Amino acid sequence: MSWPSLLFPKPQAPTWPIPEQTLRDLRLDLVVEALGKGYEAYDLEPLYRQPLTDVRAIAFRQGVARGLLAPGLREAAWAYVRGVEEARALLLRGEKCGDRHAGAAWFALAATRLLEALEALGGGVSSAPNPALAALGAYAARHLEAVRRSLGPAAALLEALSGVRFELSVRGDQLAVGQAVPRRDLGLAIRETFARFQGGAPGAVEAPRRGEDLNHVESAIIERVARLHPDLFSRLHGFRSENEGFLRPEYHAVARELLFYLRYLDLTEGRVRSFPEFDAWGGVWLSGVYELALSLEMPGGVVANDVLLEPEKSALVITGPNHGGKTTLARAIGQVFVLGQLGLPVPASRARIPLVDGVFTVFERGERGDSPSSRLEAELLELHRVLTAASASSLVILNEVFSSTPYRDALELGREIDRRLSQRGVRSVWVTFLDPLSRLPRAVSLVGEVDPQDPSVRTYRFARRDADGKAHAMALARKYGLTYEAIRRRLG
Amino acid sequence: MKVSLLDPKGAYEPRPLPLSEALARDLGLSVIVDAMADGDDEIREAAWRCLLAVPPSLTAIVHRQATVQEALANPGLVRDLHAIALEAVEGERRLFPASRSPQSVLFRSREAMTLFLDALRKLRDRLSREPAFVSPGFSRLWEEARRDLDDDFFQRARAELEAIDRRELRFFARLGRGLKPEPFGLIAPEAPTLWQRLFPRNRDLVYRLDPRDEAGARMLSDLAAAGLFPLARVLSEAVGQVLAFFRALRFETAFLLGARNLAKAFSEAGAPIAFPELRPPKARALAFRSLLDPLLLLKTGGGVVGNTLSANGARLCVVTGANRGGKTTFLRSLGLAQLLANAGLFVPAEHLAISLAPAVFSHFRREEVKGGGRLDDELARLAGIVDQVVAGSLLLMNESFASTYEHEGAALALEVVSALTEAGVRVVFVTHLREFALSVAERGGEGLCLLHAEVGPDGRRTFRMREGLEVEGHARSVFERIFGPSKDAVDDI
Repeated sequence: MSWPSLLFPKPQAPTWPIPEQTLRDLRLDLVVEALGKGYEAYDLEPLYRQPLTDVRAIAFRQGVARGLLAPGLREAAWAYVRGVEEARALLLRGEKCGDRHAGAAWFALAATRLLEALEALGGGVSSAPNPALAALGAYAARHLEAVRRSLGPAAALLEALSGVRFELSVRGDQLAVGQAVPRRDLGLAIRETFARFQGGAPGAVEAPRRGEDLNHVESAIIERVARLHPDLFSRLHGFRSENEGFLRPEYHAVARELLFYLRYLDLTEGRVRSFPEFDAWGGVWLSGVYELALSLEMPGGVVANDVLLEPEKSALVITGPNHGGKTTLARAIGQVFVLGQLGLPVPASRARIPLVDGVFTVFERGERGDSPSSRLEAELLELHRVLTAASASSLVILNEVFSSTPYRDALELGREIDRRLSQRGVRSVWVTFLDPLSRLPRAVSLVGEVDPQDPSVRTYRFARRDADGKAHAMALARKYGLTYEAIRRRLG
Repeated sequence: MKVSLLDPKGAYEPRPLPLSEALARDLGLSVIVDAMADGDDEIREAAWRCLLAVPPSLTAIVHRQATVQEALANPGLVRDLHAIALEAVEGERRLFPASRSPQSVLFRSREAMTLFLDALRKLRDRLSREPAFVSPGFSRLWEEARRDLDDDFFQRARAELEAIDRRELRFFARLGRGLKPEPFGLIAPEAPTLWQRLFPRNRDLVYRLDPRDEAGARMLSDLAAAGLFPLARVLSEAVGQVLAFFRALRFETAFLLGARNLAKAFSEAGAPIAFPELRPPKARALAFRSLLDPLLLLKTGGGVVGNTLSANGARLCVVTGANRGGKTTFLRSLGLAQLLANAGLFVPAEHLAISLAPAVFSHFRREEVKGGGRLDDELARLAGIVDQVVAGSLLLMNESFASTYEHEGAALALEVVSALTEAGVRVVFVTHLREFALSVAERGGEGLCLLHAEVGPDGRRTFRMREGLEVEGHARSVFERIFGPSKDAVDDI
């Protein structure tokens, strides 16, 4: 019997590894980095690079993630993770502190943290409605029974230590430790006498910065305090020697699986998110989809869009003014597929998507050589590679391809690529300046919109209509009085 | 213990009026401040801060008026209190500076407190020499001194300060996280009894540092510092509080000395002195008899024409009339009277009843801005004022919007003034904008006060303001003086 897994119901669930370049194109590398940041010890990033290709495995994870959204559960899971983390840090501190007595005290403190962690898991998580979480919690609760028998005394030991009182005298280079006896507190007396003058700002007094570890003078003090309380200190050392090695590697593995969900749920907290439905029907239906990495950078919120690609259509063609959010929308669509197949909620208010065996990206990249011809060559090589690898269950995202090629040639190449994609039944998303592609029979056209009052203002909203690149240019001309009529009147 | 001479709530912290720099310049306030300072920079500073302050409340200013009256009657007391406070504050400043370490702060605080105990005793003794106090401000100072500064306090305070022993520090101690030893209080040294000397209760376990162990010596000192930290805070807080008390006393008595100097200067110029009857801002009170312009009074040393007005309830006061007829002087005397009243001081007048103004603003024509930027500059300054203005404020406008075409200026003025007065701002507007004055007069309504600078039948200025509108301007009066009244000219209006 071992700890139940929260990521893989069966040991070998099929996955598709995402190439690093695709993650970068979709700006998911930033999301993955943010998720792993501060938790490097858990090596979380590989977990986010392996989307599942089995609907049941995805459903299993969606169940766990939904379960963790229930009130109180995420807190309980975090309490476990933090407790294990703290226990580990405290053990390390005890090993490094260089004082025998202090080391034992840190050890006891670590033991109480671990107990608290297991209590959070066994108590809070075992009541989860999700069966996978409940199984984990139940396992932890059984495990806790055994652990409590050995680590239980730590709390009483720590309490006894914090109750120890003694006297400390400093006189020149001499230090003395004595038994505590009733004495008059001069500080208290002075505080009372001058109470009538209280309420002023205290002068700039800095408490000395004393490190957490004992220095040799403090070690000398503790050595003497230990002589004043021999029983207590021998119980402390006894506890340590009986419980060496109580922090097992399995605790860390459980924390890692929990963190896969917790980090993502925390990162996307307060943002619109939903669990996608996977539908063999074949269409893509996204309501209020937005780019997650961008929304992390813009606390004020980002514009969300609706995307509908019916099953009989296979290409989504996005056109519109520069800096109007076209690439952002294409990325958002790609993100939904990747995050959805990781079993996580996606950045959209509602999503129904087909299961894919891979997302492929070909993005216009500046670094591909200097001359247009070498750029075109590199682009075509990449397109060829993608067309060879993609299947009828793949999604291909093409961003501004052929943008450094003359229009007429680019259009011809574009039509050719589209024909090949559709021959193989590959679904594609195009961000392009090639308006005619949007009028192909299998294409759905989305056009970036501008403010009708001021055509220089982008709305980052997309409308499903025929592409018309000229409208924007005409509006700008009017704004500056450069329409045909305006120029005639001026010169007339 | 608190000083509450100027504000019954405690040590007075003047809250600066917004945009007070322009106000002080437009009103020529430095002349008044100079008269208050009489060469003393400390008084000058106090005068500036109190005159250009938002008045705390009506009750506070009434309280302050009583303090000022008692200070005028008993200048010797104010001088002595000021000297005691000055000596205490300066004495503390001359002590060796403390670093931030608890030891340093503690021992410096002990020095400072020892010095303050002397000053506090002097203060109590000086106050006890007075047979009685009249004003609540001085009475309260005496009551608190009698209550807090008894002989028992001085005795205990001295004994406890002396008990802090530099050579041997003995602390209560406990164990913190990771067994960190934590000293948490200083043990009062006690002389061992004979019994204890014969039969020691317990023997300390001693640890002696190696003489070459410099790091160890530092650790020992850190340990002592941790033990002394709470006491250092308590004592330095007490020192801070007493210092704040003496600073407040120093500041408030400096202002009172300034009041005394100003009263002397007004009297020497032969002017009567009146403590204003104060009204809340909402009442919009403004009525005075023979109000003199303090600035002119101090500059010329007498022979100034006073004005009399009853404009209670006025929201808007429009002053028109001939050039060099005393309009600006009148406007300035209103502004200065308001500032003096706001500060709890007196005015050179036979009588003044006035509402407190939570803020005072001036919008005077600036000659130094040239060319087309003038209107821009004016509007920008006015926008700055509008940003800061609150209901009950007094706004003094002097020839605003004169830098553009009259109809435009008048329209702007009407817009701005209507909006401001409806928002509860009191506006006094000296203007040549005929269009504006006429529109306002036609509209009429309650809360409108129309004044004009009086010109005698011979064209001579009397420097008095008369009620009613005078929009014909001085040019017409010159015309009429030479050509006689003309029917056509009247029809032109």
